[in-house]
Amino acid sequence: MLTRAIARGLMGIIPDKLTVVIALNADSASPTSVTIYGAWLKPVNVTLQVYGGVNLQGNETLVMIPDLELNPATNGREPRARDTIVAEGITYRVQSSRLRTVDTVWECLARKEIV
Amino acid sequence: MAGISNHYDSMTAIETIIDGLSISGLTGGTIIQEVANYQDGQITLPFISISPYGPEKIGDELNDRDGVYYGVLVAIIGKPSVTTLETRLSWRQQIRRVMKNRSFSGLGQNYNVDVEPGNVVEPRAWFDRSVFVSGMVIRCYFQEPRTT
Repeated sequence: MLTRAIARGLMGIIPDKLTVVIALNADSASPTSVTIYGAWLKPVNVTLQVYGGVNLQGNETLVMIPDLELNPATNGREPRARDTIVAEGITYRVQSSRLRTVDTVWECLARKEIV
Repeated sequence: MAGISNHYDSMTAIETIIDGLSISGLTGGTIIQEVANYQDGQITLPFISISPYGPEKIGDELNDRDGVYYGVLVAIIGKPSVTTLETRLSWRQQIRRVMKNRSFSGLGQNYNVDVEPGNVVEPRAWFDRSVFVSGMVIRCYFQEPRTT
């Protein structure tokens, strides 16, 4: 059975971890920025998306944020839509997020801001 | 080459008219595209995309002429952080006003141009990519001679 302790231990073997900064806009009047040192990205979709007849590059990416780093003291923070995540100089906009893998990792569905 | 396609000539006429507005802040200018699209970094933002839209509509007008109504999508694409909403809405207003109920000089078969507004701000584009997309379809009315 996968427990939180095992899930957190397994995070150690994930390659290519990144330092990202997540700005939580919805939690307060002013954004709260949290630096995450062990995040990782999973590009999932680069197909074009149609918006009112205009096709834009999709750039759908999963950004995985360990909950232990986002909420080290049970802070109650959660990524929400329109929050931003900056990774390697690229800004991603969160579309949705959910807490996965025995409540240890925030899986944030995000898209790159247009450049 | 002008005179081969009324639809294409409509797009170039629209481009000329919009260019004539000398819209302030429109760094990327106007671009005629086969399909309205933007891929990261390939075009300077903000810009106005002009492209064919949907199927043309056909109407019966005269014994020897068919009515053909071409759709042209005019879409403003830009980053909200670069220009204000007020500025971008003023661009849309200028385009709508200049396109409503007119005809294209030099295109003899064209007798009217109308505007079919799309979303002023495409909400999904704003949420997904932080991009301002604002479109309208310019409907170009032609009477084209029947050929047998």
